[in-house]
Amino acid sequence: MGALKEYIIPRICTYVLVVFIGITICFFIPRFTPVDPVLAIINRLTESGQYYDPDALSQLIDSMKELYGLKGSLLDQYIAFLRRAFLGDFGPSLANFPTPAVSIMNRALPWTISLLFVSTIVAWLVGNLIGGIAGYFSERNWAKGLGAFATVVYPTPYYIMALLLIMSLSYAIPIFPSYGAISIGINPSLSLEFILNYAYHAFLPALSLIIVGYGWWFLSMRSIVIHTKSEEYVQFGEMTGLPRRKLLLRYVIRNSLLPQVTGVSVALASIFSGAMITEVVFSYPGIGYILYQAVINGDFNLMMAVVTYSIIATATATLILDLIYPLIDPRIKYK
Amino acid sequence: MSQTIIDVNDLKAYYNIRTGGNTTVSVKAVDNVSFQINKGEIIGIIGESGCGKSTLTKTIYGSIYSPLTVVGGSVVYNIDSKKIDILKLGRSALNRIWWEIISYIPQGSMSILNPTIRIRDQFLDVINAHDKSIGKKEAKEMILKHIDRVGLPSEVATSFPHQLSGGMKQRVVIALATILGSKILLADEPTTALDVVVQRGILQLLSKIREELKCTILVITHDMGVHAQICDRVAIMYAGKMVEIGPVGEIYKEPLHPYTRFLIQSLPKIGDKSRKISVSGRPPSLQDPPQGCRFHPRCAFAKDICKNFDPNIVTINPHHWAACHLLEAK
Amino acid sequence: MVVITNLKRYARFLWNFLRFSPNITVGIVICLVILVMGFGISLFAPYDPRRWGSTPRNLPPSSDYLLGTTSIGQDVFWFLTYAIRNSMLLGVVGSAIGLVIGTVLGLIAGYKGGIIEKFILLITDTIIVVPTLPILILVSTMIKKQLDMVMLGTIIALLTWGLPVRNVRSMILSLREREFSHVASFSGFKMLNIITSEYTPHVLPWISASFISRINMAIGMEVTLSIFGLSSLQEATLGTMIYWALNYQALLKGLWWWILTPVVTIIFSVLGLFILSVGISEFLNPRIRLHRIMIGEKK
Repeated sequence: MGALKEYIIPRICTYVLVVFIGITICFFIPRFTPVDPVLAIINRLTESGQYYDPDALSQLIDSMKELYGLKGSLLDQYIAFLRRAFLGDFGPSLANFPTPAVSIMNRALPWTISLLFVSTIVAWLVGNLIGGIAGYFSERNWAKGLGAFATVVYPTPYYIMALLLIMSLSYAIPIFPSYGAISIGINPSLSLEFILNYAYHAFLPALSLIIVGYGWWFLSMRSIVIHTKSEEYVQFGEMTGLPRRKLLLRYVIRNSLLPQVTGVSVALASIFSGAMITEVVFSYPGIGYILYQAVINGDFNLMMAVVTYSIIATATATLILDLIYPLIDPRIKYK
Repeated sequence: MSQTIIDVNDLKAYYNIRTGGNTTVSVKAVDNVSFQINKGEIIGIIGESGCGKSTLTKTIYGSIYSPLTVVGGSVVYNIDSKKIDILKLGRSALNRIWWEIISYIPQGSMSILNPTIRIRDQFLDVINAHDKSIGKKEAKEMILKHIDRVGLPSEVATSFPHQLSGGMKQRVVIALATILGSKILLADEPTTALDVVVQRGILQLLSKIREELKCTILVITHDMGVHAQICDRVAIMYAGKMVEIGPVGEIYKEPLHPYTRFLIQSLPKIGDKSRKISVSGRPPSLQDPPQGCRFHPRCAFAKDICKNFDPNIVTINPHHWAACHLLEAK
Repeated sequence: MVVITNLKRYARFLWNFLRFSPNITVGIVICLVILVMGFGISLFAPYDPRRWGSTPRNLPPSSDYLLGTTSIGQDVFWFLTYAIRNSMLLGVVGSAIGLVIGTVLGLIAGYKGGIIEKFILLITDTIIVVPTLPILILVSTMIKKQLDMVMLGTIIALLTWGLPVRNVRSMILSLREREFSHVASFSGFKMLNIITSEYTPHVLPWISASFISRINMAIGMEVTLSIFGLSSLQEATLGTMIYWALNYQALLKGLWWWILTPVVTIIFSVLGLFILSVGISEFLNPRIRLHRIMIGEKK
C-alpha cells in the first residue's frame, strides 16, 4: 500500500499541475493575439449583421474588458481568471444572454459523455478482440482481409467518416436522421421510448466514431499480439498441450490487452476531438456542437468555458486511467 | 535388461530458410543422429552452443515449427508395449501425448510463465487441458502436493511469476512437468543462468524425482559438471552429429572421441594447477559443415581419411560407441 | 566511372526498395500521383482557380470541366490541384517542425535525466493531455485574418510535439540500457557518435513512420478547422473545399462532384501516406525483414 502512495500522490500532483498549466495556456492565448480581441469580436459581431440590444452590447464590452482585463495588472487578471474557473463561472453566454455559459455547457455535456463513453468502449472491445484474433492467426486470408479493412479505416479522419455515413445512410439511402439527438417533443427520461429514440439518432455519430476507433485498436492490438505470441510463455504454454482457445484468450490476448489500457490515455485527446467534430457534422447537441455555435456567434464566454472544461475533462480521464491501471496489472499490484 | 523407451533413428532435422528470391539455405541442426534412451535412466546430452542439442530435444518432443523441418529419420516412443511414431502425429494427438506421457522442462527464465495469472491457475489450465475429470478441489490438492515435493512453500501457488526467483521458477516448472505423471522428462538447460548452489539443489531434485516417480530424464546442458553429478549415460554432440555416447563413468575416465577428450581435459580438478588447453578454432557453421569428419579442422590427430569421409560408428561395448576414424584402426 | 557505378548501386537499391512489399509500391505510387497533381499539374492552371465566377456555376463533370464547377463559379479540378498543394505544404510543415521539436526534447530528456527530464516531461504531458482541437479553435478564432499555410502548420506543430517526446525518450532509455550501448561506450565512442552510428538504425523506422502519419494528422486538423469555418477561407485547401461545399448545401442540391472530390482525395491521400509509412518501417526494421526471410512463403 505504501508503494501505491508513492505512485498515487505524485500522479495527482502531476494532474493538478497539468490542469493548471493547461488553463494557463487558455488564459494566455487571447492575450498573445496581435489584434485587440475585444475590438475584433465586436467588429465581427456587428459585421455578421446580428442584432444585439444596446444593454447586452455594453455589458458585453464590460465583461470582455473584465475578461481581458484592462483592470489591474496581468497577475490580477490571472487570479481573477483562476477564481472564475474554479467557481465555474465564465460569465453569461453572449449569444444566449443572459444564460450563464456554464449552464449551456452542462446541458450539452451528458450528450457528449454518453456518446464518447459508448463508442470508445465498443470500439476498444471490438477492435482489440478482433485485432487480437487476427494477429494470432495472422497468416490466414481472412485475417489479412480484416487487416486491409482496418488499414483503410484507421487513417480516415473522423469527420470524413461522419460525412461518408451521412452521405450514404442519411441522404442516399435515408435510414437514419442526420441531425439532432432526439426527436422534437421527446423528453429525456428513463423510458424505453426515449432510449430507442436516442439510439436511433445517436446511431450514426456513434458508428462513425466506432469504425475509425476500431481501425486504431485493431491495428495496434494486432501488432502487439504478433509480438506476444512469440513470447516464451506462449510457446511453453503450447508445449504443455493447452488448447488453442485457452492460449489465445488467457495467454496471448490477456497479456496484450494491458498495454491497450494505457493506450486509451494516449488516444484520448484524439478521440475527444473526433467526437467534437462528429457532433458538428451531425448537429448533435454535445459540447462540440456548442463550441461550433460559439465560434460562429463569437460567443467568447462559451468558447472559454468549453475549452477549459475540455482540458479538465481529458486530464481527469487520463488520471483515472492511470490510477486504475496498477489495479489491473498484477506485476504492479503485487510488488 | 534395460528397455528402450525412445528410439531415435537416422534423424535429420534442418532449418530451411528462404533468403530472398529463390535460394533456400539449409541449416543442418540435427544431421543423421541415432541413439536410444533407456527406461528409467538419466541421460545427458552435452555440446557447445549451436551444436544442435536443443533442436534435437525439441524434435524428440515433437515440437516442430517452421522453418524447422524433419527431413528424414524417425523418433519412436515405446510406451506400454505400444510404439508411437511421434513425428507422424497431428496436433490433437500430440496434445494427448504431451504432458501425459512426456513433459518438456524449459529453462526457468524470466518469462517462461504467464505473467498475468497465478502459478496455481497456470497449473489448473494444464490439468484441465488434459484431464477434465479432475475436480477443482482435487486439482488444487495435487498442485500443493507437487509444489511441496519440489521443495517450495505453499504460498508459491498463489503467487505471480514475477514474485519468484530464477531458482524458484525452475522448480515450479519442474513441478508442473510432473503433475500429470509423465514418465519421460526432457530438461533443456535446467541449470543454466542459476548460481552453483541453486544448481545443486535442482540437480538433486531431478535425481529425487527419478527415484520417486521412476521417470526417464533427458538433461541437456553445455556444463560437464552437471552431467557428472546426476547422469547415468552421456551423449556428446558436435555440429549436428552425435560423436560419442556411453556410461558416465567410462566417458569421464576414458573418453574416446578427441572432442570428448578435450571437454574432459578442460574440466578443472581440485589441486590441478596445470594450464588448460582449449580447442582451437570455432564450431563450424551448420549451413556449410566441413567435409568428412566435422571435427577434423580442430582435431589434433586428424588424418587424411578424416578430411574426406564421415566416420562410422565404432562400438566399444554394448553401451558405449563413438564416431571416429582413429578408433577403427584399433 | 565511379559516379556511374554508384548511380547503378543507388538505382538497384531503389528498385529493391520499391519491390520490397506491396505496401511500399502502392504507397509510393499514390504519393507520386498526389505530388504530381499538387506540384506539377497545378502549375498549368489556365486561371486562378480560387477566383469566384471564373466559370459557369453548378455544372456536372464534363470534358470542359473535368470535375465540374461549384456554386461560386470555380473549376473543381483546378481548385483541387491548388488544394492538394496547400494541404500538403501545411502537412509537411506541421509534421516536420513538430517532429523536430519533439525529437530534440525527447533526446535531451532521455540523456540528461534528473530535473531537466522531469521538467520536460511535465510540459510534454500537458501538451499531450490538452485536447488539440479546442485550443486550435481558440487560437484560430483569435488570429483568423492572418492564417497562411506555413503559419497554420507551425501552430499545429506547436500543439502536437508532445507524443514524439515520449516515444523518443523511451527509445533512448531502452537503447541506453542495451548491451551494445555499453560496448560502444566502453570502446570509446563519443555520445554524438553513438547516436548517429548505433542508434539511428533503431530510431529511423519510427521517425519515418511518424513523419508521414503526422502529415496525415496535420492535414486532418486543417480540414477540421475549416469545417468550423476557421481556416483561411480564401485559400484553396482540401478543408476549405469541403467547407464551401457544405456551406452551399452541395449535398442537398445534388452537386455530388463538389463534395465528393475533396472527400475522396482526402481518403486517397491519407490512405496512401499511411500505407507508405507502414511499408517504410517494415523495410527499415531489420527484425521484420529477418522474420519475412525466415518464414518464407507459407502455403
